[in-house]
Amino acid sequence: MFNEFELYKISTLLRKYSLTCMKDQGYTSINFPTPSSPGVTKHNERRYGITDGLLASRLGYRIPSIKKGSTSSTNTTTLSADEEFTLTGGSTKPGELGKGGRNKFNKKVPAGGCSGVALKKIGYFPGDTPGNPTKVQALDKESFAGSLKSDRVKRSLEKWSLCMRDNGYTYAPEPFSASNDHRFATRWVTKLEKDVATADTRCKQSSHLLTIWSAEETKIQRSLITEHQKELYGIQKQRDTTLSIIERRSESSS
Amino acid sequence: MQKVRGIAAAALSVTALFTLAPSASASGDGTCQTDKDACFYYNSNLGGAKVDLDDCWGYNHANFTFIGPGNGAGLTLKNNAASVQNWQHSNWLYVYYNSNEQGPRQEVSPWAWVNLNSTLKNNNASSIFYETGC
Repeated sequence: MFNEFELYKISTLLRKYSLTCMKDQGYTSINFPTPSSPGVTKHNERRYGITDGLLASRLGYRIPSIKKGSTSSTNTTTLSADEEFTLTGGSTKPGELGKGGRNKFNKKVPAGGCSGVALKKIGYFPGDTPGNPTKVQALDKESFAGSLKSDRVKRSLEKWSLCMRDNGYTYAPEPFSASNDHRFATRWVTKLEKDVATADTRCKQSSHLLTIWSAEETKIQRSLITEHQKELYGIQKQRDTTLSIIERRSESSS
Repeated sequence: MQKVRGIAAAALSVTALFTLAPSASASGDGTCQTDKDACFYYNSNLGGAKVDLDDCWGYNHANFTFIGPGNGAGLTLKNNAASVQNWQHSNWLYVYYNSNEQGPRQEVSPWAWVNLNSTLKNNNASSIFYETGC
């Protein structure tokens, strides 16, 4: 699967090549924002719920966000219909491949527009959806669901629940029972939410929940990899090809 | 349909912590904006009522309702979505089973749409774009 840093590189190249194409098509003053680099938060880091005690004490269960484009020159402008046509080739909605044609500068816009040109540069076809294949995402969910049926994980969750009770909070031995507490559906984080989230991270440690859970899920993942070896091999090959192109293109643009 | 593009003149390097905002003016207006929004639909294959969430924050779905016309209008987004569109050209969207981006997730590629899988269909609780901020 592509990790956050690989997706960042893909995103950066897609924007760069879309922009180059737009300029070639006559839109010389157009600009797209540079993607912000990952680093502060990874969007999969809460697979097993909150784990960062310091963050929990400051934000409860709320997510920290990366602010992008914070300079005063940042603004938002409406794309003209012809700019939109040049970018998409005439696609009016996600999933629809634009047929292309001629834009107002009488330049020939290919099928898929400049977005399609950018995709071709990194080894995809116009209209393709770069990212993690459905099969990989399905296995990812299968291993997660399977891990929750493990006796070791269930016992750890029981210990976590007892620990939470010792701290004065009653929650079922389920992974997200504390964070899903309806009392936390407030506009701003409350002291109670911060206290519960902090206790949650401490109880995860004392019950060894994360260590046990990730070990059990890893076992299931290895089994699934063996079971689906043939399909995953093809996916791996495609991934390696894409990464190789991205590395080459990233180096040549830096 | 409004079409927007962001123009940033400087490198994007400033990071800061922001708590999850339950709502924002650009989200939940019923309009799917190019290079800005994700649009969630009540029915599969982009059917029924919809609601848009922008890329400013990660959002808990309990704070939004589907906007008509169509099936599901007025119902909360949480645990009621069946399909979703990503209206951004180079930004990935993640939809999560739990609030605050916890637990399993489904990825939606740029300029694509999906029916939510069996784990997430009618079990959607939060979502966030790979890249967030306004």
